[in-house]
Amino acid sequence: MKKLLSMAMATLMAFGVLLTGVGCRVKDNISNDDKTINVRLYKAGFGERFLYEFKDKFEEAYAEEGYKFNILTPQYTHAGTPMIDEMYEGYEKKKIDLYITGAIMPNQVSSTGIYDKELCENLEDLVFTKTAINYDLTESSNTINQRLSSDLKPFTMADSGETYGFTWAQTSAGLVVNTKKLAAYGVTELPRTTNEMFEIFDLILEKEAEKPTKTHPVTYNLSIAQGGASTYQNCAVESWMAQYDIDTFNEFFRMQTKGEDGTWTNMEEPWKVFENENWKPVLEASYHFMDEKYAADGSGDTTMKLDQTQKLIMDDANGQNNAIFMLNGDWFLNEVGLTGSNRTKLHNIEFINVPVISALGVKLFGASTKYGLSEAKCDEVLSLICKLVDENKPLSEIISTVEAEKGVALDEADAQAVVDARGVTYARGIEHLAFIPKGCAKKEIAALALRMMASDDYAETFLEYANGLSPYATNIQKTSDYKFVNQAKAIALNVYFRGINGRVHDFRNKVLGGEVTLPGERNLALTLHTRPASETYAAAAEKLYQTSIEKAKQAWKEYND
Amino acid sequence: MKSIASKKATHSEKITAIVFFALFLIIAVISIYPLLWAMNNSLKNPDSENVIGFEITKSWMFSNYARIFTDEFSVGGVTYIGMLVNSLWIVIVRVVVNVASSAMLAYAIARFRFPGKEFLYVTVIFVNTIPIIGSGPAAFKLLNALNMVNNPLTIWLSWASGFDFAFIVLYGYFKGVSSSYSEAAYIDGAGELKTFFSIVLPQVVPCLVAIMITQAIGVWNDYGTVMIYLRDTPNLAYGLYEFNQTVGVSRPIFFAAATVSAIPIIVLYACTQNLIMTNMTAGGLKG
Amino acid sequence: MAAINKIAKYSGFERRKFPFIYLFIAFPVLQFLVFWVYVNFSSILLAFQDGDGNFTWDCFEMVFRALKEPQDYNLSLSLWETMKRSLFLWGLDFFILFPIGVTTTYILYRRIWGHYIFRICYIIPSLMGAVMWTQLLCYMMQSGGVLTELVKELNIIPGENFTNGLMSNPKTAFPAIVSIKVVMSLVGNNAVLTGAFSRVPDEIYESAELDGAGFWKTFVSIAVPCVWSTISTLMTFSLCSFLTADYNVFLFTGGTGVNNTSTVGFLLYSLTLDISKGGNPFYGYPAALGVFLTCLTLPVVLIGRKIIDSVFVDVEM
Repeated sequence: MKKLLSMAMATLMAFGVLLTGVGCRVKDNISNDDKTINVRLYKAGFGERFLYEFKDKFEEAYAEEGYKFNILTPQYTHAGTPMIDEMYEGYEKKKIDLYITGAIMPNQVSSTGIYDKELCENLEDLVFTKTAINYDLTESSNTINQRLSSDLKPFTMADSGETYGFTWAQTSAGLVVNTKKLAAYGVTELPRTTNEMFEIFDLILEKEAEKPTKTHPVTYNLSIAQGGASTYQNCAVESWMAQYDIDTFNEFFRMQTKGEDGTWTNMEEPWKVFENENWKPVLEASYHFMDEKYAADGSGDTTMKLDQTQKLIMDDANGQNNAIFMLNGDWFLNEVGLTGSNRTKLHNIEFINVPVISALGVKLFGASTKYGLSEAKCDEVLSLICKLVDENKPLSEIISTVEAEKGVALDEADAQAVVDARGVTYARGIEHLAFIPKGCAKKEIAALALRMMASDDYAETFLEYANGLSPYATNIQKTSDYKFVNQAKAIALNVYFRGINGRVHDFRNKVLGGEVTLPGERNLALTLHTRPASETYAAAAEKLYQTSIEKAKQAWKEYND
Repeated sequence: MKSIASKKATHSEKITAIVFFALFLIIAVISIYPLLWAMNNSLKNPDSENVIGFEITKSWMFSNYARIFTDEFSVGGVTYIGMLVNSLWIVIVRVVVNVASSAMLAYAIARFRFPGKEFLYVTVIFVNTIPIIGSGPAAFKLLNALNMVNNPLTIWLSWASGFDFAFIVLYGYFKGVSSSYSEAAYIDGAGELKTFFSIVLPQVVPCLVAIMITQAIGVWNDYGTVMIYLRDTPNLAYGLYEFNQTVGVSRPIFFAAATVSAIPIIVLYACTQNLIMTNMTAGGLKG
Repeated sequence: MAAINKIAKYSGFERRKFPFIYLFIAFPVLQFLVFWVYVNFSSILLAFQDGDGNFTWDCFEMVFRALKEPQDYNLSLSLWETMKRSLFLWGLDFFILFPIGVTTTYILYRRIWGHYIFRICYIIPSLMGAVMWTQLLCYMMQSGGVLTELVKELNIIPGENFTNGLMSNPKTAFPAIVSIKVVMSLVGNNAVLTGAFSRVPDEIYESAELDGAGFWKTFVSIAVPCVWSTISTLMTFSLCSFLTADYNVFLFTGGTGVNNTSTVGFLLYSLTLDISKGGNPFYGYPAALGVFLTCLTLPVVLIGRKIIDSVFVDVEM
């Protein structure tokens, strides 16, 4: 027995020692060929297929030169600080020529960033002032800077002015709706204002009240893991904030003021950005949206996975403990995957922009204004303008239609305010940036790849294989079989489109220490969801508003100490 | 010795036995239910069944088990087989190095007199009985500076402590094993190393194996340290955790993978239970 | 005894063995010096340093502030509340589960029907390991999960719908963790204790039984004193973790420790994990927290050991 055991042990030991060297590591098939660029891809909701398609096109186009596009095994962890760490380790060591990644802000890789060292190449001259390159190597007539929406460009730049990032996906966040289930309640028109949305929610609640298992208005997942899926709720909160005024919104997330020349300077008392009467109705609407009574069972569970909630939306039978609305984005279709029964079920899924906050209508047209409209009437006007904006109608026509249909003669400025609000789209794509690391020996080839990714041809590839939109294309002819994709496209290509994103900036980051909408609320969605049922939305909003100011003051005090 | 439930047992002993038997049965059901539940749910069709519910599967999708071994189940390109291999070598290296380290120290302290012997013994007892809390970040800082994070070398060095529980068990064992054989061998001209490997070690093999198996179970299931120090070589425990965090995973596949991962270790334990029971003992923390 | 050793000279025979002995212990001792002595020493130093390495009391100030209100995003509770939860888990383990464990192990050792199968069943949770066990339980405790449905069915907390599952309800989250701990550690030390019981010669039990001692009397007055050295060892180990149980909360709460579930073990682990993920590389706070907790634990461990050791005089066999 002892002998047998000794033998077994000796064998095992030898086996183990042998295996240490060949352990299965996460594979990086780095190529050292000087015509091959090594590419890291963040496997986000867009999947990876589009890039493999692009790789083929790129290599075909540059067959003569022999350029190769080597995609290293894509991972969903290829984003955020681990990638910055990798860049910091240096190009010489890592040999990665192009990072197509996410959750990295240009400031973080700048000389004032995480490592106080410039980690990436400035893409302004390499890419942005150049033309886009099509698959047949013809070039676009305009520069890439001209091709990119002016709202989105700042997100590719560090505060110091260098352009480190290349945004590689448009990506709107918005509401995903199962219209088949919704139609069962006689609702055919999707909401354009928050009041319309809450009316639909209440209707669903009422119709389902007697059923033992219900269809619920909404679902969400509150897990911080999984790429911060709980922050999808923040997209709505932040959209509502920006609908009031984009400049104030930007100040809020920068804690900086914009000078005449477009440069930002730190505020003297930055906590004051939290003191804004507009935030109260925003928080009120947020509490309303996250009211537990609307949410499908399990939505408030921090261990519930994203795909479990997505499945509740996909489910197409009413009254089965499922849900109709979900804050997600135009990547939804891709994320749930076009496989099996999803192929048919996804035809029931539609996509709309975050509804405009109804309080804005009251502020512009309500009793205290010269229009003196009732709350209900305000919402009607708001909704009508939104509808016309969605149809890309010019401002003059919008004003005349409102007068004809609702009998309200709007000032141009007030109409413009609503048009701007409707144009606000939470563009998560600008959290998806590509970078060329500092000192990259093959940066010219990497730049060629990026220029090709700014072309109309690439936009079609991205639409076809990722169901996503390229930020550089203004005329994509291709339409998708899925309503969902075409709706997302319409939002992104709307003439009034204004991409916003509350990604926290350097100064604010230092003051408040982290990526948070409100100070101390790492998981804002969870806070919103756990409102005591006895508290009204307004009371809860007021409380959160006040504590936010207090916490911001405190943080500012500590920052100065 | 008679069994508590034997025919010779007294009346009151029999009642005690019945009461405890009933109690044990309940605990046994609670302990084993999650595994059975996972097995049941691993056979469900996620499109048509509640994969976290009580109901018995209707679909019997055994194909879910085949899917574990495809690319569908992978963490950063490391497949299930890859994780299995990682689990194996992490377990073997860590356990072997750790036990070897403890055994050498325990042998030296238990068998020889040398300057520093008492000090070492007291230190081991001190380390094992006096907690120093919160050194995790400092350890990470050191290993990071030594470039040993995400480096298999870290198992060979940083996890190879000889100053732990294995020492206490082995120390007792070496004390107890008769030294007459080794002395005879030594007199016969065998060197110290030869004596240790050919005379002493074989005598404590059952005890070593028992310690190794109990340690192996712990290491097999260790996700915490792998998550921090060996991210790029995921073992099954960490791999399963990471896989479960991935967006869009199929629940039944996760359950299938969990079941498959649990079975080898349960079989290993069932086969070696008696060996472990009779060879593991720890006593005497007198410093 | 120690004094005699010091005086005793080493014989030439022994001296010749020194090189071999030191060679033998070189690796474990070096390893210990680097990865224990240096690490712990530097950890204590870190507690007194700011980000630039200058001396400061700030880290301790943070710890004391944390006692009153949460200082960390991973923590929805103050440190004091967190410590209370850890203490509760430890107390449950030490005063209730451990004695029950000794008793059940003894009964199993006395070969109750099906003892072999029972032992394997009980150890299955530990064999499956924290990751699988907790992730499975997480699913079971979600809405629609089997445990949630059971709690609803039995109406344990009347009026609650548990629409978000057990872990997301502050009323049930911590009790759920407690009950899982009960199942996992009820027979946790089975292997070591069975080993100890089986070392007691059968004759001792037999002679006790011949004297007419009943089952329980044999257990209390023969079995327990005979294995006391093992029991006291296990108790001492347990004492060391008296404030730091239990880090699996990490898995149960999706890494958040929300709903009043955070424990000190969880807090320390998540702080280390944050650092390893390349987040804020501030080592001072966790280090200071460690020093603070060590200072609280030390007297308890020392006094506790004295008490444990004085219960029974070791039975030499």
